[in-house]
Amino acid sequence: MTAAEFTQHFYSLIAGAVAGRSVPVHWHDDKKYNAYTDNSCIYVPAFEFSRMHAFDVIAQALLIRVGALKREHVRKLLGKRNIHNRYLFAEIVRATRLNANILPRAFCENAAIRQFPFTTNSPEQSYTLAAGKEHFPAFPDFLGTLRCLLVLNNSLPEQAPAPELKLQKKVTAVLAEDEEEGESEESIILKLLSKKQIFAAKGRVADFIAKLLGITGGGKPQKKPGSGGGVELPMGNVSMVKRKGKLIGRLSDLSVEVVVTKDSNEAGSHIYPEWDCSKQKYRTDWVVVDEVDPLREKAESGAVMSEILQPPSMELKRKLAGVGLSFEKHRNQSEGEDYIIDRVVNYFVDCRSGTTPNEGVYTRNMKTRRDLAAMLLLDISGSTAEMEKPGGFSVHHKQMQLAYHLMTALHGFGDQVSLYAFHSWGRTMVRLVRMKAFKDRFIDSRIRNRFAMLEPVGFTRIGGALRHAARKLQEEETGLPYQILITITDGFSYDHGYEGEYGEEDTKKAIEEIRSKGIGCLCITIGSDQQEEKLKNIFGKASTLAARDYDDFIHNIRPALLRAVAQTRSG
Amino acid sequence: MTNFPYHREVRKEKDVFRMTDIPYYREVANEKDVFRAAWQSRRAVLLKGPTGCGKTRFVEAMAAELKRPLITVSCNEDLTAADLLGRYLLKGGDTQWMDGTLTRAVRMGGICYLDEIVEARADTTVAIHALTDHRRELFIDRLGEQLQAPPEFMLVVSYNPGYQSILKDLKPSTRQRMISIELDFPPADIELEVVIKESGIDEANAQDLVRLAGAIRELDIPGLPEVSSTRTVIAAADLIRAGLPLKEAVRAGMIGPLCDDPLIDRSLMQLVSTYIS
Repeated sequence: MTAAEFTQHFYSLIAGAVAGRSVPVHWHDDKKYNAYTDNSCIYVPAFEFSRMHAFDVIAQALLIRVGALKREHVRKLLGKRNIHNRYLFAEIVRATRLNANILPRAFCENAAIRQFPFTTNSPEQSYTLAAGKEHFPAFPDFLGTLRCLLVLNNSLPEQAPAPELKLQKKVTAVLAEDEEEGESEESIILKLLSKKQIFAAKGRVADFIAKLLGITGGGKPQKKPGSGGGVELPMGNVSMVKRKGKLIGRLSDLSVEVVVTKDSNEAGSHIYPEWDCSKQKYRTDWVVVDEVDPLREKAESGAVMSEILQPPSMELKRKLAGVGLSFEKHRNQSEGEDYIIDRVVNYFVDCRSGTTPNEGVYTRNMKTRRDLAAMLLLDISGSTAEMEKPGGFSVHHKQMQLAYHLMTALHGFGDQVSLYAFHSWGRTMVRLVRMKAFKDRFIDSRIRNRFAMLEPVGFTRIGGALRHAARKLQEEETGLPYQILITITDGFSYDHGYEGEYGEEDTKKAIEEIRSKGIGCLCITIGSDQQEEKLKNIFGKASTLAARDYDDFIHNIRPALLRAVAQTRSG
Repeated sequence: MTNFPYHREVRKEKDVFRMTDIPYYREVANEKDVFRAAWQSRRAVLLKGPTGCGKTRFVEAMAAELKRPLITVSCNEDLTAADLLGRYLLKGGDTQWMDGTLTRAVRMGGICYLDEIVEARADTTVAIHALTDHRRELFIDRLGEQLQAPPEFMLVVSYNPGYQSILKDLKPSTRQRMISIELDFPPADIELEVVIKESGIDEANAQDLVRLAGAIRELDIPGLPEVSSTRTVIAAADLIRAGLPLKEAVRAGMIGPLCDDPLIDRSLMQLVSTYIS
């Protein structure tokens, strides 16, 4: 193991300890920045490899822990680059004082932290302090860099139809410029906003800006079902902007370039190849998959969640019973294949002595053993947030309910089940959100609470997620003969540089790889009929269940699951 | 004569009799008051808490304070009702009755501490039912004897919710008969005090250990089923006190007992070097 891989793992550990949740750490290669975070992962500069980065990681993890990078706070900081460092400084000092008992002494007693002359008690106070005129001590490098747009970008529920992409790119570019060079007190974006005509004229772009800045509440459903849309806003899409000359550098800033090492480990990142259909070969070490915990600033309302997290119906349980069973030897049966000699002797002794003999003298093989390991993969990209009617259930809600029911039902039978949600922002940011791992033995309130913390944002780079899920399934449940991977998605496979045929072909290839390992695949969609043909093309007709609604799902789940089991090596 | 496990316990009980000092236990909340109140109102106590947070020490301290002998039984799957109540043993050609640990505690009016009660089988746990409600009596079926518990007798059971499995959980009927005291790892400042007092190391080192333990408790990674307990912190501190270099003491006392995965072990050691200079 080289020093780089080793150190990476260790930083993830310390980030997890300080942040109180799983936080992967990556190396970045952008000389403009020190360490930074997008509120889920931490990126540490690779070019200063000789330096120890433990303090950088601790500082960023502290920001995550105390919620300094919530959207409401970051939005206020957007475009005010001159106070970014001041805000970071104030917040990190606040977080350090709050959590001193789990931090290394050396960090707490660091001169910069200890001698910080001000005290704040909330992010708001820190912002006020940062925006004020007080003289701050020199800003030490280990406190890192604040990247507002990255934080906001990764939590934006994106949806926008294709024709307006052009204009959105322009806006994105302006925003990018703002992040990089916005030295001026009054930012460009604020100027943009002051020109009211943007809102008047370009409805959806205005929506986008408004959403980014949190001016309007929530996303409005704009896309008609069946319109064939499903194109999500490609922020930071480098490949398509290259033609536009000057914008290249700025736009590419938005996608995170990480330094990829070959190794993968359980607390760090995992690297996978991707199939490039135009060249007909794999791009090696292309996709970086992280495992994180669910994070949402405001949990889904209790009323909605209690409706979603109902126990599975009897009907579903009946449909799932008897799937993935193996033979098991039962003793003391009254009929069967073989005698148990002891029992037979006892039987005759009982007969001779005149008492009623026990007739259970056979062993019998019966198909009763639960031998199914199921990995559920739930798509939580931004496109699932669509609602058919305002106030109703979104596709995300329906999918979540379905996933919860499947998980609970199979778990109840004694099958090994795990559930991960996934979304992505480009090839270096594929995130698997842990809902229930195989090792979680109970479906308790801790796991149910995770569902309320799921937020449908980002894109769908499904290939990497599938490859990682299959690997986890195979590594963690090696003993069980029936291993199946169930993907619950709305069918829009889309990400930066993962459009159209490229994405489809890569997904197809991933499914091919997974089947060749002896894992059965099943893809379930619910209430989004548009992509059925495409999914059938990718997953194969037998492995796709496109349910119109929940009843349709119940009706078809058993044959679909049996077909998936039949694909496994033992099936 | 014989090697039944409870003979060891009997020896221990004599030691407890000789124990004159009150063992050190630093109260975190109001657990001592609750315990005293339970003793006065003759109720059984259920102690909950992660391993190594001081459950046993707490019971020892309370027994010494109340001046009652303490009889500890570590429960396991093979513990039978006969182990608790008593059994006939062979002596020469005769049989001789031998009191079980619980019977012994009832007869002498001591405190009986059943450690990790869920590990015992259900038939063993129900033996204590009549003892823990208003009847306060122990029925020894083999003797046909109804033993009335004296007012000083007290039953304490401990239970680690983290270990429970579907098969092993306390029956509600057992649970209901007890007063529950929840213990957890103490807050950092109290833990610091405890570590210094128990091991006698200097404050700077103790602080490093406590901070490290605090950080490890925040970790939630696969392959790490347990976190650093106060017990392991004190173990590491003792090793430092005995002259072992800091890092080696922490590895042997705190990190080694946590997990067997060499990769996690090495990473934890890197974590250690951040916390301990």
